[in-house]
Amino acid sequence: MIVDAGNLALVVALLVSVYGVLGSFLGGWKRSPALVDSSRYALYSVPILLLISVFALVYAFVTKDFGIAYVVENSNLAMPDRYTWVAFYAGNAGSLLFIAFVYSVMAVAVALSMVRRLPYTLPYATGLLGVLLAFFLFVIVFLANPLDRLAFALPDGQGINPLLVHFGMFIHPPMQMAGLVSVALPFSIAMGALMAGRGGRDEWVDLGRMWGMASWLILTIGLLLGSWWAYTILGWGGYWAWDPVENSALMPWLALTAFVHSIMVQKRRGMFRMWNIVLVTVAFTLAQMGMFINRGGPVPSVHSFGQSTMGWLFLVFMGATLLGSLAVFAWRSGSLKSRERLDSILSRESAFLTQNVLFLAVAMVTLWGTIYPVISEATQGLTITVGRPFFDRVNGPLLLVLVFLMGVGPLLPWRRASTRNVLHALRYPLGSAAIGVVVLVVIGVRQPVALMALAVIIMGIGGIMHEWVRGTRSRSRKGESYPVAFGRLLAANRPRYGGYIVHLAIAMLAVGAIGSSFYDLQRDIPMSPGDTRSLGGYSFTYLGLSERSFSDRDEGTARFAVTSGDRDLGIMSATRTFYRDFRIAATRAAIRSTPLEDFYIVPSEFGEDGQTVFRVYVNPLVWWMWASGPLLALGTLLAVSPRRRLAPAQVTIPDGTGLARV
Amino acid sequence: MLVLIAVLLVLLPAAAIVYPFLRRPDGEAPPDDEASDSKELSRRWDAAIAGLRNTELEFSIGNLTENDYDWLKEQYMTEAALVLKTMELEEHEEQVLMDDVERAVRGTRGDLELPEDEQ
Repeated sequence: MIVDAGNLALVVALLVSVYGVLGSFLGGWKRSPALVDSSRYALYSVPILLLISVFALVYAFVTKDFGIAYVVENSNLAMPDRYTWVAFYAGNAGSLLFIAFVYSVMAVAVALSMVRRLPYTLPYATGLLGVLLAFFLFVIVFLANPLDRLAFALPDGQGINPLLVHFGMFIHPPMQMAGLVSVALPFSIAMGALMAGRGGRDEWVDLGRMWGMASWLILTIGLLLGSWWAYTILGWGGYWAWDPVENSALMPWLALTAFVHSIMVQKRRGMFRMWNIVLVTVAFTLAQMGMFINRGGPVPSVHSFGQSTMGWLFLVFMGATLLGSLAVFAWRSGSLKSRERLDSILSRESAFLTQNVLFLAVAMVTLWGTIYPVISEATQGLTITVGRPFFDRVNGPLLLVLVFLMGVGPLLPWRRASTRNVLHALRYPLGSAAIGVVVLVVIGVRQPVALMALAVIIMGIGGIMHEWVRGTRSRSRKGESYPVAFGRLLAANRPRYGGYIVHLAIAMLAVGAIGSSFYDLQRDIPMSPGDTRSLGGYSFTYLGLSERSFSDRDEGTARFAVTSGDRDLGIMSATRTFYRDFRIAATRAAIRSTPLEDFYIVPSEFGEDGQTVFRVYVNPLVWWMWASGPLLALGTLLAVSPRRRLAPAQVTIPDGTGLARV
Repeated sequence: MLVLIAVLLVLLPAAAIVYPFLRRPDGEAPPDDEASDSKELSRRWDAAIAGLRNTELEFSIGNLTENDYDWLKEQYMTEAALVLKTMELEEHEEQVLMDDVERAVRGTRGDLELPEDEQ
């Protein structure tokens, strides 16, 4: 009965969301408040209906209802209840329901934020939000319903994919899916304002920025968690493989990063109006590309829901929304002229313009490399895959320039700066970089590209630190203690200093990537119990392999006693598990992580003579990548937090200040 | 029981959808257009104040020379003053309009001769 109620709720949700779409657009066009409100309430009812469907699926899992096909495919009698959360979105149909539910909640939040602030844009924005929601519900109801029943109930299920029971899988897929779909939020606000004829005014910018940053944060955490999962569970010692699905999440992230920066120029100067519409549309389109690749798109990936054949539907939908966006853009482009002009090349606006171009360039390079196999097959009859060297060689320099801009851009004032002033502001960051290079060379960092990249990062960090010190000192001259002055400096300039904290986190990420890319050590070492080997200052003795069999898997755990010089680092254990029903082997690497480096052991091959081949890594600075996550979140929340508005009545403009000329 | 649930699942969203058509208009004025002139002035005001704040900060931390600081400050102060002036003019025009309407209404009442039972 509960499952039947869940099914019915899905159908009602679809009908209600279709009504909401039609009513919103019609109500906005005809300026009918009743119709607009009615459509808005329709949107509000969708998450409640979907909650019933979600509850029904969870209930089916918990009660082991093997009359439901999806439950059979993603669980079994042996599965602990705590894995129900993961099983929910493990398959194509369940993940679609998850996305639809999360998205409906976010859509309601966006609508509520717009009611008072953007009442004329609201119907168009809710219409656009509803279009995506209706699409998901259509696919769920007609093509991939997780509540579909089998002809008869089975005695047991197939079990959950063993790769998904890692802790990271409890967070990464939900965040990633939520992040991709959340790109629709700033898109709907921006495109809704354009459709409402408000694109040429900037009232939508505050909410567009806020929801853009929320989406960016969710997407960033999803990407970071995915990298961390790959590093700890896949056993290849790396965290980013330029896999098509990884790329498909990176591309909208790049466009969205450009958007959340560029929109500040529109907020401040009424400039880049066209740019921002283009950026958010590109971000949304690329996010849909991600869904297309995930749902049985033509590019193979470890992430794809291999059984799904509905990729074509997502491609058609993506094409339709892109065409619609272009049509609206063409219709309203005349209203998107900037209010002001670029005053100087040496200005923060100019830096933002450059970063727009660079972020899009990296996104397009990544897109080209991702879809090249499809193009080569279509044009030459050969599937040519593009590997890591292409992306590293082409994107690497572009990303380096972006990191440079990240350091230099904040030093440039709005509107204009003199060359002398810029050089004066750069002296401490450049000095930091010079000192940093000397130190790096002394300690043995000699690889030119790594040295250059680290110098750029040090310059950026130096610039940020120097500003914090000067800003704190400036405030402390008013009698505040340094800690109080620093705290108030942050509080009074939250968008700016929140952004700096995010930049620091990105610098940490970059440091980790450079260290582990250029200075990693890797060896494949055959060992028998009792053997001792060394790598990168670590000495490790193979203590032996203990094997255990469970009902669904066979586990082999290899233990090592590890030392570094005279220091005993304790016992490390690496596990290789073979899931018999799935015929999948999963590894859990033994990782000893410090801020300086990771020592990483993973079993590679088990020989019949008791000898095992272990892949051993020393990965410098990887720790900084994972540590950047909380800082990213903190900085974003600070940057997006509202500040008290100074009303005109509270301000006195001194006489003669332009007033006489007005 | 399932029938009851089905009825509720359909009726509750339907009630939410239909409610705006049935409720009595409460006489509230339509919401301010976010693209109205007053909203645009308000947004330009916020941008000018943010620019002034940022300029002060940039100067205090040494990112601006005195010349650049003076130029930027004048730009933002002029913009803020322009916005204030425009707001004042709009308020003044609105007040003039209200006064004209009131005068017209009083004048009209004076011309009318209302029947005794409506006086």
